[in-house]
Amino acid sequence: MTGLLAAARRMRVNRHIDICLLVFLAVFPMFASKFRVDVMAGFMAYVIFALSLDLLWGYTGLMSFGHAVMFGMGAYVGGLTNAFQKGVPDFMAKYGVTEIPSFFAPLAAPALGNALAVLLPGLLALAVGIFIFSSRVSGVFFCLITMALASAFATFTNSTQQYLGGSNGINRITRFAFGGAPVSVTQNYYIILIALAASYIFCLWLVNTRFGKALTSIAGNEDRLRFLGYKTRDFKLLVFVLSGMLAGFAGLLSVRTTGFVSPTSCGLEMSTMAVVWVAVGGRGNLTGAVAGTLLINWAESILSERIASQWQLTIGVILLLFVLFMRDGLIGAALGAQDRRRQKKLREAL
Amino acid sequence: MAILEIRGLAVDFKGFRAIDGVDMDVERGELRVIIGPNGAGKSTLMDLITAKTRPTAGSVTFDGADITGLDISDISARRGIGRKFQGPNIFGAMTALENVELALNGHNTLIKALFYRRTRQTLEQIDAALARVGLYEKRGLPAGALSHGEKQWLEICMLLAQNPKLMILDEPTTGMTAEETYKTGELIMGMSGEHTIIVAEHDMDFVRQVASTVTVLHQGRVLAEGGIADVERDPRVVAVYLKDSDSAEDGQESVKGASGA
Repeated sequence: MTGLLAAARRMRVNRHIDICLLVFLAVFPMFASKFRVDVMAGFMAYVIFALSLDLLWGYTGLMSFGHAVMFGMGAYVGGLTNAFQKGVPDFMAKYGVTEIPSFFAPLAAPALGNALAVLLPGLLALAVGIFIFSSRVSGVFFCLITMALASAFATFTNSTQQYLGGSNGINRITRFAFGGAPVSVTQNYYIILIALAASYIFCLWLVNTRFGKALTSIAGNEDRLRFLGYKTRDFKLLVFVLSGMLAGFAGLLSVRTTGFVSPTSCGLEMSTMAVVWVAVGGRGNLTGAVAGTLLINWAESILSERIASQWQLTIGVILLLFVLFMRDGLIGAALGAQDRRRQKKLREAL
Repeated sequence: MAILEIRGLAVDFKGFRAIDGVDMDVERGELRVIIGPNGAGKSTLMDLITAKTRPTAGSVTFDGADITGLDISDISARRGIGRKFQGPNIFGAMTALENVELALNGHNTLIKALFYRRTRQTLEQIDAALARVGLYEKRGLPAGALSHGEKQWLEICMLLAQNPKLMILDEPTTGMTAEETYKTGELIMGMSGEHTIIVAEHDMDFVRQVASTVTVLHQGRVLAEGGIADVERDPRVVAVYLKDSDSAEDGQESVKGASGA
């Protein structure tokens, strides 16, 4: 027991917060209304999306303003896959489409379709990444290119009435089903929670590998790392692809929970929101992405019932305050305080 | 045969010839010091050897192969040339140990980086390198919390972990006290033989201490080359450099400024 306590004391403060959050999420359906449980399941899918952005921005220093493209792509592919199980969806039939188009054929098989919801965003990331990282685009230009990508993708989905439902997107998507009828709200909640825990553990493993340390070093001083013999381009490419796949996975889970996807899920606004979540929670420690996403989304959900028209303004002010006074975010500030205390002790011991 | 052969090397920055026809041979295991006034082209020459800058003309042959214009990471990982930049260039948020671990050679490809594990063997290598520069006790501290001199040693330690055939050190004693500079000199002398070393330095006490072959650069050309005693007596060298540098040092007491070319 004392050994366990000592181990707990050695842990970084955010690992304690992780455990608290996990316990809270695990018992949440026992006291919350069904409506809130369903809302929380959707937010947990957002958390996975935020984690994918944290890998890219928080760890590698690549601030993407177009990450919702990967999320949206996963959601669209996942949504179409679900819709095709009941034949040709209404929004297609309206335009005279009588059978599932051949380029959508792989989505008729649910297993393959769901796998593609993860793989296709990864492929897109690979294609975009090869272009971006080979031409050595970085810093603000990376932001601009990803931003343009988000606008292009939103415009594309918006104007593709016949195949993607245009501005309405795809609606009435059902929850995951294993054999028979779709799972219940509570069952779906736990599916998403398990997916979140698995995604979190994957990210935690990844950032603690030598690969993860190299990513952090790319953010700090990329040239130095190249002189240590690392082909940094390959490292950036791989994290971009993995992050894209994780975002696609989040999109798939999100669409099967909320039941719809539209161009707003893959444009600039959604991309920016993810940046805000991670900035408020604190980047580069994973916990911040989780806490920030849950905090901002619940605040929006509760406050927008009262101050709907001023919510956008409120979120802008919150972001500004964090950028000005708490650049490391909530969890980052807590970690910084703990680090300073530990360093002081270490130095006194020497 | 010399391990490093530089022939007719030149680079032109928009009409300014920073390096202008340099020929230089460095023998295996040698400790070569490059001196020269600010702007003589010391750092640029190092940039050319390590592929940071592409030459306009000339070639660099290392260990029998032409390495002119290769990729930086290949120069480091495949050819075995390590470089320490001017001023500390370490990863401040990571501990001293993690910095050295990151530099440890042979684990730099994507796949190896994903599946690298700290073993007793790698830890021994890291600890040995840390002990050699006197940072073993402080290995758990974040590198950013080390003193300026310690950061410089940490970077030398990272080079040791990289275990390159050729080490290139750009003003390793910048910002150090006289005592720290002396310790650095001892450290570098201890590393030569086993590694070929090229050091660019400003500090003449350091150059006298390591007392090896000196190449004097001036306006992008080799002005003189030879033993320290010969070079110091060379009237051309005295005219362009030594007088200047000594008087500058007198004004700065024992701690040198962090500025330099």
